[in-house]
Amino acid sequence: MRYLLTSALVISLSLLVILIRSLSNSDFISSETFQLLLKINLAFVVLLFIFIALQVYRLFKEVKKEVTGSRLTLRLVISYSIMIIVPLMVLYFVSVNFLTKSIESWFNVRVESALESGLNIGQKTLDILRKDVELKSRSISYSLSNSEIKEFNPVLSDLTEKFDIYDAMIIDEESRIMAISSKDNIDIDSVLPDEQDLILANTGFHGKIDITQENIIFLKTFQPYISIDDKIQKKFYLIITQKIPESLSQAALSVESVFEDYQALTFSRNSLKVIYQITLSIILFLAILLSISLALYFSRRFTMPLSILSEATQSIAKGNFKKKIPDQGKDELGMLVRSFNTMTTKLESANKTLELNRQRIESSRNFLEGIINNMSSGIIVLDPKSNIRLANKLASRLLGFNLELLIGQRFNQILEHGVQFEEIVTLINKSKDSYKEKVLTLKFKRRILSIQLTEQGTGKNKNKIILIDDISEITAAQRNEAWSEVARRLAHEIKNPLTPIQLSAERIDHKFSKQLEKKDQTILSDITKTIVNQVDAIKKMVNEFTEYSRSPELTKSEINLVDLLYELVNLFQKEDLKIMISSRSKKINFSCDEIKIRQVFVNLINNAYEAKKEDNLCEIEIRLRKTKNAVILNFIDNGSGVNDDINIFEPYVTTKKTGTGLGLAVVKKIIDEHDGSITIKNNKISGANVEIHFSY
Amino acid sequence: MMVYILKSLVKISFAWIVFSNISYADIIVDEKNLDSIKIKYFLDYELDNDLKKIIDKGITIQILETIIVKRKNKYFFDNVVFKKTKNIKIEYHPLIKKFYFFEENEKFSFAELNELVIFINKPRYLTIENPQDSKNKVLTITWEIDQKNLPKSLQLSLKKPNWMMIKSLRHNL
Repeated sequence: MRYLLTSALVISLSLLVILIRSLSNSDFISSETFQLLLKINLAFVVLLFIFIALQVYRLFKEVKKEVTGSRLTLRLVISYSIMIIVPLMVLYFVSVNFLTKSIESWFNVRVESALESGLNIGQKTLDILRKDVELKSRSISYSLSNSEIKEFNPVLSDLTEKFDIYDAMIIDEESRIMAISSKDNIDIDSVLPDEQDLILANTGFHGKIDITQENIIFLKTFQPYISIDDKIQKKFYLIITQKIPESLSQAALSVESVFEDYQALTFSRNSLKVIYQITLSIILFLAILLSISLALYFSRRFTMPLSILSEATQSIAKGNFKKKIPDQGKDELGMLVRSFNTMTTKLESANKTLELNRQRIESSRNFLEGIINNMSSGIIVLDPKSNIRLANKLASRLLGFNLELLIGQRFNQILEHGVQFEEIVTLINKSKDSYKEKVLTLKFKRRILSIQLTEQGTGKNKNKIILIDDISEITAAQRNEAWSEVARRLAHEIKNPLTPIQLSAERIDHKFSKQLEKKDQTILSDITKTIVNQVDAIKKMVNEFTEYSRSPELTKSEINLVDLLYELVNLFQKEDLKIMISSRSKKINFSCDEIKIRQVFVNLINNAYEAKKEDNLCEIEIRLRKTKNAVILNFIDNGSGVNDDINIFEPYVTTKKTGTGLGLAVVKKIIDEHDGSITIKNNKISGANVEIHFSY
Repeated sequence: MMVYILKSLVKISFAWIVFSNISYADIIVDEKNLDSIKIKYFLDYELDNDLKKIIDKGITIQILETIIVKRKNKYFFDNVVFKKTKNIKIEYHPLIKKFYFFEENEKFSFAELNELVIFINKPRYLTIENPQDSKNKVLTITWEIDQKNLPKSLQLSLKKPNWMMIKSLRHNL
């Protein structure tokens, strides 16, 4: 823009100077070069107009798009333009008027009439001179007509001298020269008349005025006369050439020349006016357009720092603190820009510190989250208003729903996920007083959860931390230990007297039955049988207790579980029992204590059979599969299923009328001894599914 | 081919300018042989009123007579085989009320402008020496006001006046 404007300014000024100079040079103004210059100027005006139109169009578009600074630029351009255009227009009209009137004044009527009068004076003077020469010619011809031919020369010389004639010549009808008299060397060829002159002379007299190439005016007369030669009348022509005095001739010709110039100028009057008007118009347009260009340039230059400042402010508002504005000089705007740059530098530095702190906090938070998420306890952090601030994944898993969805909400919201959480909510709500720690045990989904509430912080910024631990395993282990102790004592205290009781009962029956009557024999036999049977039952129960309490001494060997299962199935041949084994592989080897695993399978099959619905066929499907790192067995039955609220694997827990409640507890214990896991859940339709997971 | 198109365009654009002034019947070939062609032509000119006014005011007019013989080429620019220019001057001296006609060092004077026009319209003769092959040749005779030799003030015109072109004659030789 700057270069374009400078170029336009230089070119237009050059063109204007040439154009104005050419107006003062008539040779130049009338030439084709002037017209070409005029056309170039016009073309330049058009180009400049297009350029400005584009700039103005761009400015209006910017105003429409609400580009910063565009409105101010437009206002400045309009103001500058009005300031320039108004005086220029006044100057233009004054100049055009002045020029038109000046040109008109050249063609003043008085000047024209003066010139015409001058010319008339010249014409009249020449007429007078012509008449004088005519009179002289007539006088000389009269004298010559009375003279003889041989006297022509002296008579002519005398008379020409007498009448002050410049040249005189007598020719006959055949144009033969009869006499000559001249003050100078006469050019005969120029004096001799042409045919037309003679024809005119024959009318009586012929006179004419002629101008030579050297601008000398001559008066020429052709006078015929008759003279007698040898008594014969002959016709002669007296040709007189009279030179007009040079001073008079020059003056007359000068008037004629000026008159010619004036007339030529009169013809160009309108052209002159048009050309000056066009030139002035071009100057006006160039001045206006250049002024608008300059107004555009300076307006943009003035508003540019403000636009840049505004853009930079918007950029900073969006968070780009690296935005810097180029230096704008040493004026107030420059100072503002420097202050702005200092501010952005400080903001950038502060932002960097803030970002660093944020990253540190984020890192700490991630670190803390990592610790919290990997803790063996579930953690819920509540703010002073009992809103959930933080909860780890384990807490969600232990409570059975996603606590992350409740972050920021009231802790009471967890009641929507189960009434069993009421105790926790009550614990939180009641704990308004200062305390250090409160503990709650909650039985939930076969689990025993320990809820521990602590406070952190002081004053109003006290946060509550809820620690949730799954103590099911610990409780179970403690209970197992207690039951094992009970079993050991039972086995020790009860099993020993059982054999003597049984033997004594059999001996009583054997010794005293023969001594009794038949009726009493039967009664004795029934009683002793009952004693023996009950002792057997006690023995069996004691054996089970013994088995349960026995400490783990595993004798592991590699066995094929598929074969083992088929072997066991063959032992359970009952009409109301159907066992199916599903295994993709016929050989699934596993290192284990065969006897104990066999007991596990037997117990599970027995348990499933005993859980069958009355009169129904008991169907048991045993699925066996091996993965990369585990052997998984499923015992799926169609029985009555299990109660979700009780832990069936705990000792002395049974839903059967006749069970000891140790079958599945023993199974659990053996599985635990093999570092496996066992779970039980009800099927969708009926029955239960026991899944054993052996890792290796 | 480009030249042909260009030439056609030039012809079309200039045709309307000179069409009204072109006359084919005003040139007569008197004699035609290998050495020369003798031509008689008539200007048949009627003085334009504006030009008449200019001459009456004593302004000297110079006329440029251009005689060109061109050999026509269909696909290239025409060859100029003969060219001759002549300066003619018409003067009027209001002081002595006489019109002068200058042509090649010859001077003719007239008391009336009409006499001068009659003199101009008299048959004019032209001899073209060494015309070479006379086939496909066009003779053009133009009489045009020599603008450069007009008074400067008369040259001040943005538009070329109609009276600038006096006559243009054309004839196929």
